[in-house]
Amino acid sequence: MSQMTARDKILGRLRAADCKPLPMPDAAAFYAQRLHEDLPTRVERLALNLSNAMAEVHRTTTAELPAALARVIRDKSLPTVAVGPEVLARQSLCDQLQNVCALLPVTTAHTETPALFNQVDAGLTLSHAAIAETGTVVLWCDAQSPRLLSLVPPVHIVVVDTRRTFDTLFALMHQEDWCNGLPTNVVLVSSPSKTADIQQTLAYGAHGPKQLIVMLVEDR
Amino acid sequence: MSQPLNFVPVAEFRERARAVVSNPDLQKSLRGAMDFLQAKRTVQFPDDAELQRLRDLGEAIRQYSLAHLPELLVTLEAKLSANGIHVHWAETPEEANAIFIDIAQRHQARTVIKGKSMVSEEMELNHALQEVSIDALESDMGEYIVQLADEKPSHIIMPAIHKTKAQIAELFAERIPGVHYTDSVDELIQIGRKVLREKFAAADIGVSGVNFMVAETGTLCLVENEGNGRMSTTVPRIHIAITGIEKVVEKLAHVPPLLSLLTRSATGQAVTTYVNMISSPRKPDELDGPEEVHLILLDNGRTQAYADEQLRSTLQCIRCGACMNHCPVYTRIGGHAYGTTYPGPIGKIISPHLLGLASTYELATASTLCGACAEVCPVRIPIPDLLIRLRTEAYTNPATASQAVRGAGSAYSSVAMALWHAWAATYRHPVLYRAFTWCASRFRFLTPGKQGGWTVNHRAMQPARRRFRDQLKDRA
Repeated sequence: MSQMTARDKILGRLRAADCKPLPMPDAAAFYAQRLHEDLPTRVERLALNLSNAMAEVHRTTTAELPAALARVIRDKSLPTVAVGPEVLARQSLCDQLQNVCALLPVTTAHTETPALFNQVDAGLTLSHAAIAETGTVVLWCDAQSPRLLSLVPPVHIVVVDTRRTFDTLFALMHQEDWCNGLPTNVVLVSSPSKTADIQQTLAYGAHGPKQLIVMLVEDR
Repeated sequence: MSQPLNFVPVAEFRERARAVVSNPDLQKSLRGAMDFLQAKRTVQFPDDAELQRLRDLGEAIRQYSLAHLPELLVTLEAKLSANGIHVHWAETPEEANAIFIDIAQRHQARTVIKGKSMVSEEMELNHALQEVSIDALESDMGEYIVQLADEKPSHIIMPAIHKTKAQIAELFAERIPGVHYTDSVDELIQIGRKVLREKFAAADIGVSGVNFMVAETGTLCLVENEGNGRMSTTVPRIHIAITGIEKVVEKLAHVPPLLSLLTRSATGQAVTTYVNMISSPRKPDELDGPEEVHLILLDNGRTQAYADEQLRSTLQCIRCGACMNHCPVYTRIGGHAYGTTYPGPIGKIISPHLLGLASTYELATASTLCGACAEVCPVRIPIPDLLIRLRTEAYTNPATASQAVRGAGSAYSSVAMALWHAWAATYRHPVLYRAFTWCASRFRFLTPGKQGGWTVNHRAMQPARRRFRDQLKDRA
């Protein structure tokens, strides 16, 4: 006996409507009309938008990054900082950070979760790219970059290579052919965690980090 | 089927609306909240030309997605399956709950933590889970507050918009063990954070809604500000996403314009704190994320709206809530009065498909057709036209009504219809019209003092002593 599944019935009803096909909408044409800025302007816009959204922005260079990070960690008194494989791979950076805090390596599945929830003061991650228009940092979560590091600890520190600052999300997706495949999880982060659910009053640190610290690395 | 705890029948719509209108505190907080949201949206769209171009694009994308909906759903399913995400289809809320419970029981799940999902509200999922002894806890701060108070959301974006800070402070002190009264918003949020953190770490299943599903990549996009959506979709071993069948787009390139329209229209943000794009469960070499991801696609009357060319535009909706934020009726009666999962203008046009016109036709009449909703709708749903269409469907003779909407003809009355026909005939035929006005002015003393709904708020109408045409003749 053949029985129609819910899937068959739903698709059957949709097909029965017999809609006329429509032409493919042209998102590229819309974005082509928008302002395109040079890299330094994009970086300025990124920094401004992030600061306006209550992220803390520090500007540094590749050579000065370890010292700048150490300074931030010391000034904020963050005794334990969780890092994933992507950061651990940068041996010299880790060596310098270990002078100012304990690094908690997150390298095995789930075993660090209780520690992450209870004992860690900050999570340090790299980023994939940034978006000027909205002041957004793009996290590319894969085997090298665990998802919880940027979410569970009260402070998220993220390093951004400013050469990878794009005008818009559309420009980023388009130039990198995201349509050919995405990792398990991509997260766009534009401010510390927040909510206005109580009488429209903005409060930070709802469920995610209360502070978002962005290290903008620019080599002129 | 058993009724959930605080189910409010749509039938008492007028009564509830009246109660809200006569509550000055509620009037003040609703007005304040709507003014806040309207102002925030306005700031996001300084350039009207850009806004109109973006709306053109958003509308075109949604219409294209609907025109190709069956193919897109098939492509989406194939792509998601290839990515390792399980896809389930449900015609009714009961079926969707059964699918959910089946997954939960297979994994012996006891606790569920939920990110915001309006479709799970449609399904009364929390109630269904309670019946099989599974605890479901809402983690969005607004939803958490509403759940603590045993209520339902009164707004699709800001669920606890009807509550004041003081009410929430009292609620927390009363319902959360060990919490003392505080009316500091920061402290209240930190209390919620602390309570819910423990639940995230312990939950077996995380639930989320979906804002956009991308067919070409098999990606689920979620927007949020709090981080509870990311928690719910990352920490528990199993993630179950629940959404309506209409939320699919074909191309990843279709997401940025819709995303921009959504967040700017909803809360006046250029972008939300987090945009979470999920394309697969955790891969073998990855360190966190759920081992299993499921997607439940719910119909629940959407195919009914789809079948009719005009009503189909209802499904263009991206659930930003701008229509309710700008609705003079919503601003006065609030979300609970509607008694439906989706309140406000979008609720008036979608609920008849979800629940049938018999129990919802009054909602479509609670509108002045001022058009504010259509003016702000980011995907240009012609809401006033749809309201008129639904009124027509409700009031036509069921014997001759189209079969487009379940419950069509529910409001039909043969007496009312006969009166309308008589009125139309009178106004079409000059002789009849003159005879009628002559009689009306002569026998004006017979006009009743009580004239149904009119005299509830107005003085009784009475024909003039002399007809207008006679008065004109006198002047000439």
